Amino acid sequence: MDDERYGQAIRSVTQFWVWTVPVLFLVLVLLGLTMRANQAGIINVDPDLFYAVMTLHGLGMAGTGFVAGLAGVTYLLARYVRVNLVIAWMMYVLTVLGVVGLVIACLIGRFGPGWYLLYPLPFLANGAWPDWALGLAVLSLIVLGVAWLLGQIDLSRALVARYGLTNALAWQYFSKQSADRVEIPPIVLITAAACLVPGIATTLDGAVLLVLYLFKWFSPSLALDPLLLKNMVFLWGHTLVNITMYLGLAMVYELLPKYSGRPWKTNAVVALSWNTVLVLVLLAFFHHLYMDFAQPVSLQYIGQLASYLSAVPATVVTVFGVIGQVYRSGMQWRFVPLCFCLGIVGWVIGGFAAVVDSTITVNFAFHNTMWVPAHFHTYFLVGYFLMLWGFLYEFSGAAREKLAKAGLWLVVAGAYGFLLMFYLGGAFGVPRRFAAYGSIPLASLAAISERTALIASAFAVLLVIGLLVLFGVIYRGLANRAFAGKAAATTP
Amino acid sequence: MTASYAAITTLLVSVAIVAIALFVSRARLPAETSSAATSTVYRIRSAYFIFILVAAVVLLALTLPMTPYPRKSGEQKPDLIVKVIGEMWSWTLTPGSGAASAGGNLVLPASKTVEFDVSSKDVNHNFAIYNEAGELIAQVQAMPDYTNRLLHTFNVPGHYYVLCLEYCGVAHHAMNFEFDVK
Repeated sequence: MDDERYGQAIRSVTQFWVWTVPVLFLVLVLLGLTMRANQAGIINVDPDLFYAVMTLHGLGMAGTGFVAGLAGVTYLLARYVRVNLVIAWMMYVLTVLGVVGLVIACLIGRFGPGWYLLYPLPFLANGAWPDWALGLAVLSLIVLGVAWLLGQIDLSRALVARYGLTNALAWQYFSKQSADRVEIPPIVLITAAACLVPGIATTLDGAVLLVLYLFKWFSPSLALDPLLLKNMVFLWGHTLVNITMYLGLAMVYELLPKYSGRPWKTNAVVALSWNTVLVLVLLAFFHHLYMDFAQPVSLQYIGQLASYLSAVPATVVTVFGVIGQVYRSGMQWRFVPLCFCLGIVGWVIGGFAAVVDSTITVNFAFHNTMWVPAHFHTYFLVGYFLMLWGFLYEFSGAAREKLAKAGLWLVVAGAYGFLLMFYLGGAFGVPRRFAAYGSIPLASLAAISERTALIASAFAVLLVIGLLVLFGVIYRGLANRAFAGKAAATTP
Repeated sequence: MTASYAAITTLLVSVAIVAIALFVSRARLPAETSSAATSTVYRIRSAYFIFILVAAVVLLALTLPMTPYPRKSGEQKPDLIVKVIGEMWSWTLTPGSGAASAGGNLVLPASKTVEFDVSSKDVNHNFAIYNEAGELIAQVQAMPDYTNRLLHTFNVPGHYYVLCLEYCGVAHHAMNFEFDVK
């Protein structure tokens, strides 16, 4: 297959993702709004449905973010490497199947143990969800895991086949003189550093966890260790979310120079930074277990150390890299670079709030309060996803800059207002994952919980309006391009 | 107190991040060549690298000794041990000698070190203690098959509330307990 045909083929697969992701995201945002509105007392959702919605929202957002990033990076890497198209299509089809299974399990079966399926809650539903919903959810997650594992393995294979393992990880920058070096584009290095070791390792960890759950589903008497499984689930979930972030950054590294007009190349510092991340990302998840005092204290310290140190390469290389791209470049603030740079700002703010919470003594006051959703919603909603919307806009060929920017500013205003309420809630000790606050015996805490949820709901409506505008522009661009393509194809 | 400091620090740093972003992105600044801009950015980056490394080491040195984990050596002896069991969706607190009961309410002594031995009969819960002002003052996970030891000294007498801070099923939000400290 020649380059042009491969380019068209990978574009077709990516197009399916670009049509699907905004719809999925919007539905998941509406589920989030439903939860905040229920916490505010505006609507009244039964607790079993609330927690099922919470589970679908969490699993859906993490999964959508990751798979959209993987698909986007695979498309951008087409300039350098070729993936197996059968696997690329399989990843799409299996993901759709897995999502359908999860939607049925959660919304019809009321499966609601939270995204993290913390053992042994999925197996002790107390009548909240039937056995079939548990089985369907676990099988759907296994299907998703298989799809994403295949995608990552194939992408890694393609990178290693073209560049070699050590070159893809840019180790040559540590030893060889520039004349002898094969230039490694940053997108190749980041994808290799994110997918090759942490991505595949944690997806395998997730697979082992889910297979154990499947065994337990078949044989309920099987006893598993709750602390070990808690470590496994956070290694999987935490790392997956971090890798998603890196996939977003890979898109920025690849596309921002197109707008700034400045090169952004790999050098020894960039190589060292991303190779350090490769190790640190696998160790930071211990900070999720700080309040498990039975966990060895040395692992708790490693959690804080890894969380702190991971901020060093991230800010020193990537943030200063972006500053180097933008500062006095004379760049026009078109929609795509605006999305990328706002995304970087959101990532840094959310990242700082995360580092604050990764301090054990601070976590003692913040653990499982609203501070936790505050920081991860920041680096997702106004961090990673803004980078993704930049890529989607670029891919769609949309040309409604003013309208797209109006949508973007509505998203940013709505999102930051929404997030501020999470942060305030966290500072006041408002518990996370509460269906409603009426049963909190402390009147002052119940009041601040409901008020922040009410204001957050209003901002979330603003966010939804902004998203509708933004996605409308992207869809119109896609439709125009599809129409133009068809017209071109039928024109003799 | 910790929560307030952390929140204010996060707010100030966020404002600084936005201010830096606005400065860097100013379109009115005259354009520079890539190499000139890179050399300015690299100079600042070197200083920042040293600053962030020093800051990380100092903060680690300051905060790691303050962790809430019971220490194996030189640990303070508890004046009272309270066994805590979480179970969907209630708490059972069984105190050893040194506690009292008033009107059916558990009463713990003020200014004494209390050890809570926290576990669960079913799923993961989180034993979180709030004071009357609504401040979260201490917490620890309640996990089946494991006992987590939380040492706490109540310096202020009053009414205290226990909420569950680990999602544990459909009535998680209603899993409460109350006790007094005198």
